[in-house]
Amino acid sequence: MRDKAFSRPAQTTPGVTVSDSRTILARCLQLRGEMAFTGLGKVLSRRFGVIFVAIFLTLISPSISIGADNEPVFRTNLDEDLQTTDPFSFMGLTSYNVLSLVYEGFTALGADGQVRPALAMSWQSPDGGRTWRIALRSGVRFHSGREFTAEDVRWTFTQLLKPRRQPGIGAFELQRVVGARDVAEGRSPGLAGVTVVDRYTVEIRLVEPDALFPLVPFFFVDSGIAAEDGPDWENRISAGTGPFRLVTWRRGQKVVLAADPDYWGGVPSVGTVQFAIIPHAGTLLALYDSGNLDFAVIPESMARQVLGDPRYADQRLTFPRSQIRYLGLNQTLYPPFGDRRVREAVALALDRDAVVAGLYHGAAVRIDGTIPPGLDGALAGNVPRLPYDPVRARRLLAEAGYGQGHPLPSLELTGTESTRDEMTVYAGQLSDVLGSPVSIRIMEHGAAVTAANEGRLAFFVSGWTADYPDPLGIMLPAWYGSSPFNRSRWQNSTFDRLIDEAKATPDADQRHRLCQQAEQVLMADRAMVPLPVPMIVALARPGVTGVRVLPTGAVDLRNAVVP
Amino acid sequence: MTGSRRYRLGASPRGVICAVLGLVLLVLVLWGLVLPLHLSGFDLGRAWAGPSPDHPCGLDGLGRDLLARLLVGTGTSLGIAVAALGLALALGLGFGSLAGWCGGWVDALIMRSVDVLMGVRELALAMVVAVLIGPGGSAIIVILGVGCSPLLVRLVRSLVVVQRGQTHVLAATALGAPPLHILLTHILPNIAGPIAARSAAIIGPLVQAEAAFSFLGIGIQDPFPSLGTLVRDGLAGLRSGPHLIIAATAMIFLVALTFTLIADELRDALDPRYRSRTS
Amino acid sequence: MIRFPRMPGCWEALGRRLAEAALVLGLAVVLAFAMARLMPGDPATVMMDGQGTDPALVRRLWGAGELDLPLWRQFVDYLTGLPGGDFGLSWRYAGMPVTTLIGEAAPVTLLLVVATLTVAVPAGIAAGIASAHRPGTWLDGALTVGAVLALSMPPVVLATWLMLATPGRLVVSLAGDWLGDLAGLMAPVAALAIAPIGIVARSTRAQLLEVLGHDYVRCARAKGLSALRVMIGHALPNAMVGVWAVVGTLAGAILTSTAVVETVFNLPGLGRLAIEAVLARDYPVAGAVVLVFVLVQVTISLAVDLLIVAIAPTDRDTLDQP
Repeated sequence: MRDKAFSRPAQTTPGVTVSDSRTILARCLQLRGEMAFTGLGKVLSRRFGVIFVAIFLTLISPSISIGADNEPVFRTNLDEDLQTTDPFSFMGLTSYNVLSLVYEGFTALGADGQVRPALAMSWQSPDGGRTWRIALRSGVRFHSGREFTAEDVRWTFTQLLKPRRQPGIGAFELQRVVGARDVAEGRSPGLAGVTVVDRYTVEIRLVEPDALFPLVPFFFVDSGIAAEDGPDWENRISAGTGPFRLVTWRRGQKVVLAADPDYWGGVPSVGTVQFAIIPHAGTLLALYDSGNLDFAVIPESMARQVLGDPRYADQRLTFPRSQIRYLGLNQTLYPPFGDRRVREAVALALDRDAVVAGLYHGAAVRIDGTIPPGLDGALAGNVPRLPYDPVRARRLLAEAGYGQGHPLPSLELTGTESTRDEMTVYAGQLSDVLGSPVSIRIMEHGAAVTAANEGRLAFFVSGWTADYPDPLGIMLPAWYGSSPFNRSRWQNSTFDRLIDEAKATPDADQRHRLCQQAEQVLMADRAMVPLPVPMIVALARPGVTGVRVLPTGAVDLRNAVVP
Repeated sequence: MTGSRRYRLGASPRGVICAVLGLVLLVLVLWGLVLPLHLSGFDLGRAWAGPSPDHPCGLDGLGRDLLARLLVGTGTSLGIAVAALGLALALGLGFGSLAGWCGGWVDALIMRSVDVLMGVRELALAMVVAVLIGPGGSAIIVILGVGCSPLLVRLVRSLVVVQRGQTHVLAATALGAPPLHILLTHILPNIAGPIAARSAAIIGPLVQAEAAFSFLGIGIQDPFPSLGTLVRDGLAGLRSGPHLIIAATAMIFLVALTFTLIADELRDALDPRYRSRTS
Repeated sequence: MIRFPRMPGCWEALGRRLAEAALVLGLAVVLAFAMARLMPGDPATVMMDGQGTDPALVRRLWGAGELDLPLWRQFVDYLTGLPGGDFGLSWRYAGMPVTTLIGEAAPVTLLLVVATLTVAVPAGIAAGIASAHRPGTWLDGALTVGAVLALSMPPVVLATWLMLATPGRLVVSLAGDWLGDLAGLMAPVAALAIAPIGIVARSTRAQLLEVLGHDYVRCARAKGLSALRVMIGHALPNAMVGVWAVVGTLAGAILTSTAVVETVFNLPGLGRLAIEAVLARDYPVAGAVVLVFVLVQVTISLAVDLLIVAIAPTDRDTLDQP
């Protein structure tokens, strides 16, 4: 199906458009109507002569627009392809970021990193997180026109758990619902733990208490879909409640969304959104410079370039991430790390401010703990500021027995390509202070993640992005004793106890206080060395406003304005 | 009547250029050996600064002196290429002589293995080896050496086959000399020429291959420079400091050109059929 | 023009070639399977990076535990699927058949390779002729330097420079079909063709120079034919045998370079698909693309060898030369 939204030429300045050679042909031959010139154009393009004329004309003349282009198109980029458009089987972050414009869950992320209600108006748990009573928003319509009710919640959860070749992330999040196993193994057609209390209220029972269940990002799907549209609907139909409908997905090329005029939160200000899939960072900048993109989210590998380029001075935008970065210190694999003084020495030996200023031109956030500043639950000053003090570092090392003449055994810092520059700087600074050479090992991304998760790295650069807007979203996976993502295998019973308590505390303020205490325990033990977190860098063409990038990397363009 | 003239290095303009370039390259590499390479001399504030009196080639992305990194990197890449060539020569001479001398099923087996090895794309081979050995200079030497040995095996084999039929070899065999002795004293000196020419022609591509692998991350690791890592850094800094990528690419070009010209000169010097054109 | 080979050894040589091709294909099948799987990590871990779900659990549930099966078992499943043309389902694209993905990406790469060969071979031969016509002069020198420059430039640098030098309007339009935007393919084809032009030029020059030393050429010149006529009419056809052999290996090299060019110019072709599949540990896709590449390369090599044998049966020995 040919889609009108994308075969129209993109607009750069009023009245003058950039176009492709087919439109040039059309203009040459004074043809109107898409089907006509597509057919004729294909015939004529077999003749070289016409191609050369087309190329010649494209080169020498600015093109005139065929007709008025009054539907604002917002063109932006993705740095990797979608995995799928099926809300039941998606896994990756990119798919999530795009689908979150089409589908919605109980809650969503606000501009300030705070939780805001989306399809759920309020949520309570009378028994400490084991049972949740959720009041849904009324008057919400799916893209098909049908109204969103509690039945859709139950249907979506059941569908998520049904056995399929590649269960999506939703299926794993639902494992803790009562009866999930039965559905997943095909023993039961319905999910026992979900009860439809009335049209707009649903009650969910969990196997174990989970204070954060309403914060988990689910995507609710129109339950009438399968009955009406049959299998394989996800590639043809848009079945969510979000501000945009899915129009088309060309694998490897682009994703196109169109605004939903009946969206409960107000009609989006852009009519069409076009994501171009551009994995190569250099190409991205070239395409942005030539006017093919309105808004570009810059991948980290190119961030330094863009931050240092004066041409982009008034087009640059930076946004904080809900992410921490750290140097992991495995105390078993590198025994000197077992001594707290050595760990502190490493922390004091790094000049973080120089990295923020020198590498990122100030567009990086210094964190001294493990809760990023913008996150709901962060408390400024909760942990003491970590200074750059190489003199004290050397003294601590000497106290620990690694002074002059007894240098530390050789150390290797492992990381991935995207942090190469930082790693080189840190390794250099550490070599100077520790008195022994620190070498670098760059591993391919997948290999590095595997090695880190398996706890095979002694000294490494790592990070974690909050899965949901709460400190537990970072502290639980990254530092909890038995977490599979506790890459440095740090164990502390006080910390674990505090986290266990927080997990069962539905009250947000109380939970945040427990997390802050846990953070103090973590930093007092010098479990890791916190690193500055570079901000998300984006470029917006002059005249493009109202666009934000959320801390997860998703683009919030409901209020975007395109000239 | 034109007979073959004796080869002289200064006879053609190409010979002169070749000698000059070779000398320049040698000087640069030697200079790189004595230049101090400050691995942790960062100057983040002046990243990608252009050429200046202190730093004739400018600074790289982390503020390190580019000239030192460039020269040391060239030396490293050349060293790896030469080492790989050595490995390939060893394999080529060994297996090629074996195939050429013995003939029969030994020859067939070796040649078919060589063909299959050539059919395997280098990238796949590289990934496998990199995973098994781990990244670094030694991995690259193994990959490149094994990867370009088929060319030399084939060449040596065909040369040995030709030599095997020569009268002096037949005479030596009749006199009862052992095959190894014949190979070393009778055959090897006669085939050394074409092999040397071919080897010189391989060095250019070997340096490029090393650059490609280091670029991909399978080769020399940071902070040690090699032409590949310099190209990668240069590409990343293309907008901020084009001098990096220009310098790195120019160096690769210089090395490739020098060895191509050397290879051409060697081939002309050793092949009696190439006469100077006067017509 | 195609004559049947008169010498009996030809069929033997061809038979050997076919057996070799089969062997290479067999090796490719094993390699295609092993290549991505040898790298540490699996699709579950790579995809789950940064998300809190346990990759071990994911791995166990995906494809009914397919990723957790012992390696030999996975290999057997892989082999049994091949003859039917079933390459399996992709991991990265959540259950999309691999054949669909390859079918979408293949036309792009095919177009690029054909266009590159069409441009590079004639241009290279022309440059080689010009070079061999007056060897040792500045033209020859300049062309040699040009060829070396073309060959020594790292492909990614060349592609990036060409991409940056292309006016924005000529870059493949993001908005429409890449196929309808032929002007946008000029730059990628140029990037792909430069190195092959260098290779073909140098090979043509070398072959021509060797052939020009033969007696029948001197005889033709003595008869009064002009140098150019002799070159093109007499020397070139005989030199072409060696050049065609080079072209046969060229196709494989061009296929591999499409990976870089497609990535830099953002074209959704097989090369880019292969790279992304390996990075994402999408085993079925990575393996299938490698197989396709090897298959194409082997086919082209065989075709070129057949051509050589048909056109110049007396030169069958060149089949065995490097």
